Amino acid sequence: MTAASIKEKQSLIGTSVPRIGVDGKLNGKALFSNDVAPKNSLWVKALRSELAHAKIESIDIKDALNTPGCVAILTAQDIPGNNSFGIINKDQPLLAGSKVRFVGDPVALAVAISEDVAELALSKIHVTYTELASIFDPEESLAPGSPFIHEKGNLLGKRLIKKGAPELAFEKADVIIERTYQTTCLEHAYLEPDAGYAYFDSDGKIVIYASTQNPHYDQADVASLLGLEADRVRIIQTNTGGGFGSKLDLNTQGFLGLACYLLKKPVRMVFSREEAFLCTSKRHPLKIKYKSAASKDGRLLAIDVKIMGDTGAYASYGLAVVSRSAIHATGPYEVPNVSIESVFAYTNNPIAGAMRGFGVPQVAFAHESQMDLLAEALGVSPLEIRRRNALRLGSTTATKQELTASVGIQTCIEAIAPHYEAIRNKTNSKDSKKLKGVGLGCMMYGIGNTGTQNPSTAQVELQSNGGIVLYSGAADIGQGSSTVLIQIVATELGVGAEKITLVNADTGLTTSAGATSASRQTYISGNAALDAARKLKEAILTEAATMLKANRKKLYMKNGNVLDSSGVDSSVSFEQIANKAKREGRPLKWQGFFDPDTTPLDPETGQGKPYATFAFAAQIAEVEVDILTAEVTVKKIIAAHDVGKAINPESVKGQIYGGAAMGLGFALMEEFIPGKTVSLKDYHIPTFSDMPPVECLIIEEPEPTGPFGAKGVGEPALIPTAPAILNAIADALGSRIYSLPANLERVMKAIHSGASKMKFRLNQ
Amino acid sequence: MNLEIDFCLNGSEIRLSIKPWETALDVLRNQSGLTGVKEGCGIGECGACTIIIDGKAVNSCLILAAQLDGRKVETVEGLEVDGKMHFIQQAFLDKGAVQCGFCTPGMLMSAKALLDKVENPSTDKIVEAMTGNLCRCAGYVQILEAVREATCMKAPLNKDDVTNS
Amino acid sequence: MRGHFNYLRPDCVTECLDMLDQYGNETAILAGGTDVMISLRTGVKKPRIILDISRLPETRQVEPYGETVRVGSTLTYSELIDHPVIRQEFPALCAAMGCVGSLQIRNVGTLGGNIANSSPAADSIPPMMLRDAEIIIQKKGSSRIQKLEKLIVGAYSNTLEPNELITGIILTKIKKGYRESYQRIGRRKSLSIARINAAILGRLNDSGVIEDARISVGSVAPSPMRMTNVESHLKGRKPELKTILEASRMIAQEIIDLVGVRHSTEYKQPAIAGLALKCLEDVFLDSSVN
Repeated sequence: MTAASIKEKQSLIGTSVPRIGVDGKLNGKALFSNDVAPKNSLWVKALRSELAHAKIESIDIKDALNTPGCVAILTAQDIPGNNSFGIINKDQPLLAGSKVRFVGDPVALAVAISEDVAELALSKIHVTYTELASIFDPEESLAPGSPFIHEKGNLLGKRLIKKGAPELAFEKADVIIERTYQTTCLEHAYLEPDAGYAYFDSDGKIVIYASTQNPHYDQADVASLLGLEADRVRIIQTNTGGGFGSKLDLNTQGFLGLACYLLKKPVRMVFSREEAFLCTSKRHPLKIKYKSAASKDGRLLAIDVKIMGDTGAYASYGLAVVSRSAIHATGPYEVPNVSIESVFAYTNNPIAGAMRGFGVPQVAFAHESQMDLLAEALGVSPLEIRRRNALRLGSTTATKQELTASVGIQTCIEAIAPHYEAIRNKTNSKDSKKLKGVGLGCMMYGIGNTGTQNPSTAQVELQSNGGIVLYSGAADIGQGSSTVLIQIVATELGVGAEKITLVNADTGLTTSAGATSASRQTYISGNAALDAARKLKEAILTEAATMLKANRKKLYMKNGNVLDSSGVDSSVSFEQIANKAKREGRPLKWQGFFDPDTTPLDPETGQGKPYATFAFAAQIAEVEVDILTAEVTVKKIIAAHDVGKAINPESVKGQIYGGAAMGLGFALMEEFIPGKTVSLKDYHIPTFSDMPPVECLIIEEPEPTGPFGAKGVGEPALIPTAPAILNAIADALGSRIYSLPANLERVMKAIHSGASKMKFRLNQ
Repeated sequence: MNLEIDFCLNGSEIRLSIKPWETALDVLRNQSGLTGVKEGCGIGECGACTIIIDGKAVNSCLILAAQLDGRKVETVEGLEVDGKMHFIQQAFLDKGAVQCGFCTPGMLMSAKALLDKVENPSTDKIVEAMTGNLCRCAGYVQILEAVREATCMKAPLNKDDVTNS
Repeated sequence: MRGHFNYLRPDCVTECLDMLDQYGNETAILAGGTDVMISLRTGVKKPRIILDISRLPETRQVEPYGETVRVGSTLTYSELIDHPVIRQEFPALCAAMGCVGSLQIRNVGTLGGNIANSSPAADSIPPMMLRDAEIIIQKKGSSRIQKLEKLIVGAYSNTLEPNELITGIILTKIKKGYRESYQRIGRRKSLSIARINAAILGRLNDSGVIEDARISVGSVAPSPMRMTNVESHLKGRKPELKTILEASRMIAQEIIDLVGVRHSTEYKQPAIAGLALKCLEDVFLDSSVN
């Protein structure tokens, strides 16, 4: 490829093309999941358990059915197919049959002419329970003699990773740091509560509109619940008001499918915020026992990490978190000797599933705290210890995966280094009641699912009018994947973004792109779309060569035409090409496919190649702690992210800003307490006033297997922020917090156990 | 037991027959079809349902429909004039301030209420006016930039009074 | 599920009092609605009638009267914050009202509503307490005036009868030489309920001795409380840092002694003292002391 042709090719790559669909979001016309149902739809409402663990003895629906306007009451016995779903483990009933396992477990549905009638009918369902012993702690759950929450037992899964000889390394170490870290249950708090609408179309298919991150998975599980072939169910993603992992689960889709299928009528369902809080998945609370060893020259020698996770009542994406948290426990550092054990148990807590980062934000809090503690013990700066240990080309990870390209962590660290030094050198405020601190957070993140096939497909079609249609199953939930896919295809075919029509996230019209999760859509679906576009390009050029009687190698595409670069002034338009190919019966719709190159992990040692590529980042947080009140103010965040290639820089920045905000919430305020946290009044996410200025430094270490070098950024954006903030608080106070969130109480405790610089000790 | 209410909605006088217990949010969405008004929490904590009543941004989930009687009400659907974007919408577009878009209508209305009232608001004033609008995707940075940008765009536009207020 | 109710909107106070006289027991009064609407949503309140008082003209005035200002009960926080008399005379109250919820909330929420709701964490109550706030309460055929401290008897509990309406609040103006401060702690920078809040008002005499000190702390007891012991302790002393620190600790200790040691004490005791210190410094020290 010549330099000129690369330039030609990258015309839309690295440009902030406005997001597709943004107009409707600006004028209020964009339809979200609660905006699509026609007025004649019946309302579906779920009766949910108020007990955490109980046997269902009987469900009396007689009174409920007599409610005027109530059309049906549905229970587990009405489910025609397999009453269990879940993306990895099929362990969750759509409607509880024999027992309930958490407060919020659905036991019956009311279908009625209005929301009020449905609620009234629910209040007349009489469920007789026998309460069972409940377990709310994962260690207790796995203790001998604990009552079983599921028939197979209470262990969700275990991941072991062994590398080198950690025991020997600990013996030889100059410094050993051992601490226990605890994180809490978090709510995704996407702004759009779940909703949806379902009807039978004229072909007898059940069509479900839903707010979802994974329409093709929804289709398979809804079909299985109903005992139907998958093609009898069509899922169409509506505009989706954020997901962050929770909309990977079947939140409304299964109920809508069931009610629509049984009643043969259009139905709708809308979660109130309170219901979404009660029943949708949460972030796993983790307890992380972390032991690190280093030599006196500041090199990591070994880690021994034990992770205990609480997956709540059902698995959801829990198994993915078991593995991912273990693999990422080293952080972005080369550790020669590793022993990691990650064990997750079922409890009667709310379901914990996928939430932006799949356990990595939790372990990053631990590994980054450990790095600072090691630095302190060794008398080197936090920056320096990270420099010395950060992964580089040729490094191997905990799973002995050799990194052969696109390892940008050193570059990220060097990018923030001058900012870090500058903040450190600033004189501390004269106000000794407000202490300033600065902290670092680094991370790596494997793009795509862990050690398993997770392909994406796409089709690109040339239409007879010369327009291009891109078909992708990828659900854009606000992060901007649709725009990125269009940029990739448009660039490959040498047309403007406006020439591409996108059909996406509709199982009736697109093939699977896999889930919008694991920061995988740019890398994996981007590659699938690129593959399809390349094939179409080949076909177009072949047609054009014949039509122009030109040397195919001299042809290039521009603005919907194929031109001859050999100086001959001739061209042929996409429209002409399309018409000719169509007449002669040659295909104009091409299939693209990509599945990242991974291998499964060895069950005993955890060795393998779980990801084809990794994203890296380093962030700085500058904080101010008011030692009178323990309020923490984050003054600034500087974020360097190696994204491979920023296909749409403004979108990349948007991900980083949003990730930083979520990380700030994780660090300082977010905590979901089952039974106590019921609404957005109780669950605080950062507001405008909580957010400091954020400076983005986009680092591009191209990934050779990525589309135009791109990797991913969605989850990486969040991961380093909380560690950076917690390290900054420790820097300010001289004492460290080991449990998140660093709320008022924990910060006050740290203030009063802190270094002697506290002038005002007000508790006594 | 329906009530009749008369009010001005996005520049047009209308009469609606409503139930006393319905919220402004319910009626605007279900009767007037203005689904740009979003319910995010139902308790005034997120701002997604923000509308402007008599020049002030309010949470329509905390207002009874009956209270709209006699008021001048603006929703996101009233921002465009003759298919042309309001300058605040344009600024949100220019600055990449929209991700999932669910908070966007409320954000726009809070920004409009501010800019209709204050000539050249400081950053603190913008934050004060917008802080009742939660966003979970975008971290506020580009939204703040957009409102700042809109502040600059407003000055030349004022003469033509395209703000429709 | 939201219950069903009738909606009444009287045009004047007399009509409103008639309605309350007739339906008071089954009525919920709606002024700004920021609390009532949530109770309706959660089903905590299931009234048969919602009485919308937000447009009663008699309750929408700010009237200076000698040493006092009579503030209409249905004026919104935003209207009051923007009102020149309120801004001038009641800076701590303005600061407190500025901390309530969000602008959307302040655009509808009212001072009368805040009093009637009687939340332990109400932002407006501590600063009003320091201004000898008296509440004008009317019912059909009569009216009474009650001190704010006496009106609120506990968490979400007050002496208001179902047929009564708060129509105004009488606040005493600031005298020359007085300074006041309002401070609060929330779990985030805005849109949060006060974890602790405090208002302090005071004056130094010509020789720099504390002549008057008034302290009110909220969110620590069932209702915001005056700290009269500490007020007396401060009077007659010079506002040296040592004195102020001591007073801050006394405030915290007195509150903890009253409510008892709990799980939250470990945080609250130093934080109350810290917040009190901020207010006292604001009021009695010209610049922040290091």
